Amino acid sequence: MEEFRKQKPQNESVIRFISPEINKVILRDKSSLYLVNKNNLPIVQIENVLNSGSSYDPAGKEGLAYLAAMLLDEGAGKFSALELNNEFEKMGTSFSISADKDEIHISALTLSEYAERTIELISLVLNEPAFTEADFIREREKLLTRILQIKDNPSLLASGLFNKVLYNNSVYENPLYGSKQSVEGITLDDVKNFYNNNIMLNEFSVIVVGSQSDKNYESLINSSIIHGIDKKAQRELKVTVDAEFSPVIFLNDKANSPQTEIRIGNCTNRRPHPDYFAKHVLNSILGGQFSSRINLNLREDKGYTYGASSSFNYDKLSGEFVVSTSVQSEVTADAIREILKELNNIKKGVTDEELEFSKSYLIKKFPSHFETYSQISSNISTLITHELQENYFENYLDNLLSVQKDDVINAAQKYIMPDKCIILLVGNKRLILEKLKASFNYPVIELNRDGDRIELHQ
Amino acid sequence: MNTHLDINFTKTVLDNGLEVILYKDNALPLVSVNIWYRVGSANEKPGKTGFAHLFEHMMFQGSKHVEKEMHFKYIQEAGGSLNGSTSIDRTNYYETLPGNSLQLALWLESDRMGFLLDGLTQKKLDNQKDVVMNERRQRYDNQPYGLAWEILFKNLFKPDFPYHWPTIGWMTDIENYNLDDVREFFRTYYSPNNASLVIAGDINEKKALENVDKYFRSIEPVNSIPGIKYTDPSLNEDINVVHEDNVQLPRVYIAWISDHIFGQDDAPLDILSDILGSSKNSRLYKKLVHEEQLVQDISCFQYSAKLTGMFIIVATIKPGSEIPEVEKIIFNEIEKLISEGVEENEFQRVINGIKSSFIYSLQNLEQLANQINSYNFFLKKDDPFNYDLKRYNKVRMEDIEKIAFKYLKKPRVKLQIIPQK
Repeated sequence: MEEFRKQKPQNESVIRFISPEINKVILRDKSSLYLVNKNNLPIVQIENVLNSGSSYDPAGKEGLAYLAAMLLDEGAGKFSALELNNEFEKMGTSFSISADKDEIHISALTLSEYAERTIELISLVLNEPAFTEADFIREREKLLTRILQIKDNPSLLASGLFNKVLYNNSVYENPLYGSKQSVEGITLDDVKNFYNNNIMLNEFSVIVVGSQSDKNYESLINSSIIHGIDKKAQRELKVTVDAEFSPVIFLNDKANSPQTEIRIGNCTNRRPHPDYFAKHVLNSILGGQFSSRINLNLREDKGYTYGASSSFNYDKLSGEFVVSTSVQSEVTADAIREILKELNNIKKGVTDEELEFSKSYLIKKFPSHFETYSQISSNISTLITHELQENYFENYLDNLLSVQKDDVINAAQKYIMPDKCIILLVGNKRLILEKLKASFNYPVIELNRDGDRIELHQ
Repeated sequence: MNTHLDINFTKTVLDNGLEVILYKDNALPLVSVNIWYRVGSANEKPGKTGFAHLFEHMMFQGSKHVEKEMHFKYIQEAGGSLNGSTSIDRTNYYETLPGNSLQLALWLESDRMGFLLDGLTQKKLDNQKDVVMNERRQRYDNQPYGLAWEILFKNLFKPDFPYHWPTIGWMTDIENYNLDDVREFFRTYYSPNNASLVIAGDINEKKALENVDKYFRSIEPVNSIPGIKYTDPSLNEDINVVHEDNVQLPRVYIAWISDHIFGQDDAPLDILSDILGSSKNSRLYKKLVHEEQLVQDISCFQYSAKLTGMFIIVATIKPGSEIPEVEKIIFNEIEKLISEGVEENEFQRVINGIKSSFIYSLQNLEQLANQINSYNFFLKKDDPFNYDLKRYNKVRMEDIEKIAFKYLKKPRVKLQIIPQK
């Protein structure tokens, strides 16, 4: 018998890893440039972060930031939409623009030899977008069709409805894409106004990850990417959330659906907060990874689902805790009961073993967050969004190490609220409603796909 | 563009047949361990579909010296990430973890290769059958257009061709899995002489090989591994399928049988697919999304597998448009390409895109390790990264119209997914 098989092997040495140095420079338009030296491949990642996401959409014009982002690269300078795209593609540059609640991101991954040209083109996109009527009409149609398509996807639909109920009456309530009605009402002038008043004037940052020895990115970007000089004071955006819920079930009926999409959760706080690391460890134990309590219970023990997880998600102005899963229709009520049970149990405490496991997992995984050029860029973008300290990554491991059992329990008691949560379901009403009513003493409010309340089942 | 890639690895074969490939890259203190078993859904039999995929679940359920749930826990505790995947041709299992935990990965991989059945129980099987059925519901049955691929493959390949069924298996087959079948499937395919192991990252090659030898040497090979029987997959006539789904927009899939992976026409087919439908400036996108605005999205690709390849076009129809008018334009564009050929600038754009994606793909160790295994399985050539890149350099512009003529004039399957009435 081979004795060595009986025991898990021990590590052979200690890993030394220092996160890459981030060099911050102020550009001549007062924007920030973040430089990271990485040279194992002849490539460079350039990312622009514009503080102009959908939370800046004017009332009734929801979807405007998203549409403006779609339109930014539909022609710029002397190039038409297709010509501009061709300029990027003939270098093999991968270029994209995305928008979220808080920001618009313009990203490019390119071979280093084309870095100058890529920066020139980004500058065009940012400073001289064409915004023609024909491009506007085409992109708005695309967005309207996308809004239609999202409603087909139960997982996206559930997350969207959960967001809407959770952030009722705040700037985060509305879907990034807007609604059919709001997008139909957006004009090209709205897009131009949004560009002039938000995209060009709100806070702006650039990130460059690549070899810093063969090019001077500071001077390249200073002479090319110019952003609005007269920055306006940041608008005070606030997220105020409705009073806590005494659990309410919201249900969107998806006839013939073989599964129910479940979201259970509550609002929490912003990311820059002393409790962040305790919440991070807490979530890892509860539902943040495969071996967490929720996944082991719902998947590996009960077989209700392909997977179940929980997370603390952070936007610039708020945070939320949410459990997400998709379960076979017939076991919907049982799955909800098990999830609520796990939420209540974790408030009672965690074991030493769980704490050590989760800390070990999060700490030892740290180097793998710095593998690709875009991962590094995305890490810096997180610092920008949440206004974290520049030495955040240097202190990351010490912060995790210092989390104690009491911190985790306190965080659970403070931020996990099974008694005041929202339970949002997208599933087959015919199969699940009666059992929901019989199992829980909570009101069931039926929503349509746009999130409007259509019926109350007591 | 300098396109010579400097990726050197060494290959050794153990006495029991296990292929071991080592690649040193110490950019970060990480190591990626990647095992390919030469078994995919093509090795399954009708009535027993989905077994290769079922193993992707059972292999994480513990083995003789590893308790249930501990396979994941050990790797995660070490700061690693792990997963597996199943295709029609192969299954892979992989983990990326700090370089000092290489032995842990080898211990776990060798235990499930050598001793999985000692830890197998009815309870574990029943639990994972439920999980797989829920995976099927979540990823296929409850997704818009989620059944399209299995309907397409079912029609593109006759019942006796081993790509006829989906990798996840038919629901009725999953319900009927039993322990004896699971044991037999494992004994047939999960042996060192049916696998290749790639270790990439921050390693000492000599020590890594000693450890591989320690953990894997004593695992017995199997005598004979059954081959796959198949016949010519050519279509004799067009096949038209219509399927109603819970969707708002119709979608059309047009598929032809093409060339297998690394076959002589595989690279030109790749280029053809990019010219037709990979980006804003590709012909079909430009015509149908940008100019005519009849479709919401369109894509085109060459999906090449071991036994054959498939050339596929997919378009989602906008409200107010109809599949027939879109289809007519697609075929007009194909005719135009065949009769007029391709232009220098579009050809060059596509070649540049392929070359730069090659470089971008080298950023991630896990992806790199998997690519080495893929070359080892499908290509079997020295210096495969450069071989692969060069095959695109060898393609001439005039080859593209010939390839389009050779494959896209043949019978095809057309699948229409339409909104439920």
